[in-house]
Amino acid sequence: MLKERIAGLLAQRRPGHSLPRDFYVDDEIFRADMQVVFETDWIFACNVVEIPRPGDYLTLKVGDNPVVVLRNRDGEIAAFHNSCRHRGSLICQKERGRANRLVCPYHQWVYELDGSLINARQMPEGFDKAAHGLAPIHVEVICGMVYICLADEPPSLARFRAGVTPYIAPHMPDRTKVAFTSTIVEEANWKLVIENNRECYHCAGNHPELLVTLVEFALPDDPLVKAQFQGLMDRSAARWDGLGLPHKPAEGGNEFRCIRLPFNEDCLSFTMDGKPACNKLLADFTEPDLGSVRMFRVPNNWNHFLSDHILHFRVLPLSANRTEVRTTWLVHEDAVEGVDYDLQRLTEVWLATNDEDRVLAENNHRGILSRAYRPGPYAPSEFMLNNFSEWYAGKMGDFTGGPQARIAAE
Amino acid sequence: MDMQAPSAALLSLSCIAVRDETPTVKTFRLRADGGPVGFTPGQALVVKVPLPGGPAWRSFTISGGTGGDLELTIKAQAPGGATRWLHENLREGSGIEARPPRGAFTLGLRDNDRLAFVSGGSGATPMMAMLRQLADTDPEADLAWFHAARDPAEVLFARELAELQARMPNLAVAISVSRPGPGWFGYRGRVSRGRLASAIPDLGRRQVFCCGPQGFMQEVRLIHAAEGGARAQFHTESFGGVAPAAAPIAEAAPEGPGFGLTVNGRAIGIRADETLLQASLRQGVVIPCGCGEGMCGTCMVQLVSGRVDSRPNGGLTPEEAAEGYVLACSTRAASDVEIRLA
Repeated sequence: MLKERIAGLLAQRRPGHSLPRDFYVDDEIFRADMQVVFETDWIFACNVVEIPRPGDYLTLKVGDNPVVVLRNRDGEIAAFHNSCRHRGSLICQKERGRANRLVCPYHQWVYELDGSLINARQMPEGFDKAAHGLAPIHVEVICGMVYICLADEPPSLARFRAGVTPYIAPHMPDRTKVAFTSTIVEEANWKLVIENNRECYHCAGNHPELLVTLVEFALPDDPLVKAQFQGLMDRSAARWDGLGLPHKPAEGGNEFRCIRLPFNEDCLSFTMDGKPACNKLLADFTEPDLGSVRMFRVPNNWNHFLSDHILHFRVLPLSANRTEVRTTWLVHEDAVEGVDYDLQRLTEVWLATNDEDRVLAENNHRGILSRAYRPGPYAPSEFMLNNFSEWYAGKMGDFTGGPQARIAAE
Repeated sequence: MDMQAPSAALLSLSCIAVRDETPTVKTFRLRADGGPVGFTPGQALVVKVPLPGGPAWRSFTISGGTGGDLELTIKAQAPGGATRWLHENLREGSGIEARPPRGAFTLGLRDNDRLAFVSGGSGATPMMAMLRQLADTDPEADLAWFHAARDPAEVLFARELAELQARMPNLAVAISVSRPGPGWFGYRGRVSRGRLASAIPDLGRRQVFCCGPQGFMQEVRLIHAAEGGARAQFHTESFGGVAPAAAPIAEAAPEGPGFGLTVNGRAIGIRADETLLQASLRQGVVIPCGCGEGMCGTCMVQLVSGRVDSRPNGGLTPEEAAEGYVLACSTRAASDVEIRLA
């Protein structure tokens, strides 16, 4: 039933256009999204520096699935379903915390940080604790970024890892610390939140803070770039080549995008004057003008890696019309607030931009509810929406007909 | 004792002793014929070196001196040059001329409790002069010493640093050599941010005195800045050769007279040939905009004062126009203008 319905909607989809309405607003489709996308693909969870010591944990919900991501006693990152093997209660209930062991607050079953059940009081002789460990979740750490996958057999992250590591590793994300986090809820479908991030067509009219520094055009060979930014691009590219820092777009297909782009002339960081947000630069950099590595990965993550700070954005759908967006600002691990950086200065551009994007996505969602809504055409500068739309349609197509059906159709 | 007053006149100096510091570095002790010469540690002497082809003027930091004598510690460079001439010709009993001590690279600049003396090669000489002064005046001083040399035999002042450490409990010494050999226990390699930051973890909080080759000083300056250090907390001693950075080229003269433009209280300028939007964007003030043709109204701003030439292309309602709104993309200034973002 559902598969036929989705297949019908996919058949209506016009490439190069926004999606048919139900993909954005329908509860049943939303549940399919959670099952087909969020429970099968790799989901960005956090940065390792958010849980620096053994026992530090962070919780999140992937669809209806509560998850705890923690650092175990060996210093490694692990993730588990945050659901007690007794009668299913949530175990870790705070968004972040620290636990010597994971103790279910309901009946005090005790789990070691490796997920094994080590104490279950009042259970009878012969109760098999080994069979009641926490259900593990796959984890991969790429340049400090923690990705989790709820699928039994997760897809390969090898191409992504190989593609983005040369861009990100020089910024040494695992030698940073959290300066600030912000979580907002947008009254909009998660795909509208992602789509809004994938184009800067809307920037000129809506993002006065961001555009102090951000170059609007996302492709170095865009003719608009040629006219306005060729000199800037060339000078930046020469400098980065000299430092051995890659900048050309990575081959990420529809899965991911990674590129280093310059800021506007004389701008170094996402601040209201373009000057650095943190005077202590990341890694071993001595060159402050590194533009930013912009890295996006479906379905829920985009990032900026600058000379002086790192931004992670994590999107988690809450319902068909509600989406959580969590932003993390990272600075050098030894940077001191009030000395090397000022928190307001560090965060004001993206706090404002996130809020502007929230309003845009919410209005987009409201407008799509109109009976007059018809999928509309993407502008050439919205080419990344094509990538996203094709990727999403592929996922849903696999679900309705299996990959074979899709390959046969192509 | 009476010291000679600084003057532009040449000092006549006699060499009263020469000692070897390393295979390529000698220290020359000089005494002025006219009586003791005062100097501030870190200052330099400009020496008239009588090369066969004519005199060459060279600056050398005064590495020390007591009782009115001055010491120069000089590394012999390429044959035919001034330093090589001094090594070969200046010996006990010979005379030489110099301008009186000069320079502002001294502890007079000190305004931070934490100091770092970072030197490359013979750049250690002014550091040592200042260090001796600190040992006498402020032995508790919190000072990190970092010295980069090519190989262990060329490390300057190693023994004296150890002696001073006995008197200066907060003197931390780190040495890096780029050509280490067996028995070398210090840092290895050229100066880098990672190496310097591991030797001096709080470098960015320290006031840095840096002396060495130009490339070395440039690198250390970038490292200090990257560690969060303020530019005003970084001092170098540089001897000649480098012209000051050229002044920025003035912007092309505007077409016709310009006016003042104030956007949300921020005063910027506007040329007669550009719109409010162009002037703002050019100067880093972002006004939200859309079509750029006066049609969408996104760039609507409130005109607070001034005369303008406003040509909205349907993007402004008559009511908005009557209330003093204009579209930044299609409005030019006809006088000084103040606007506020709507």
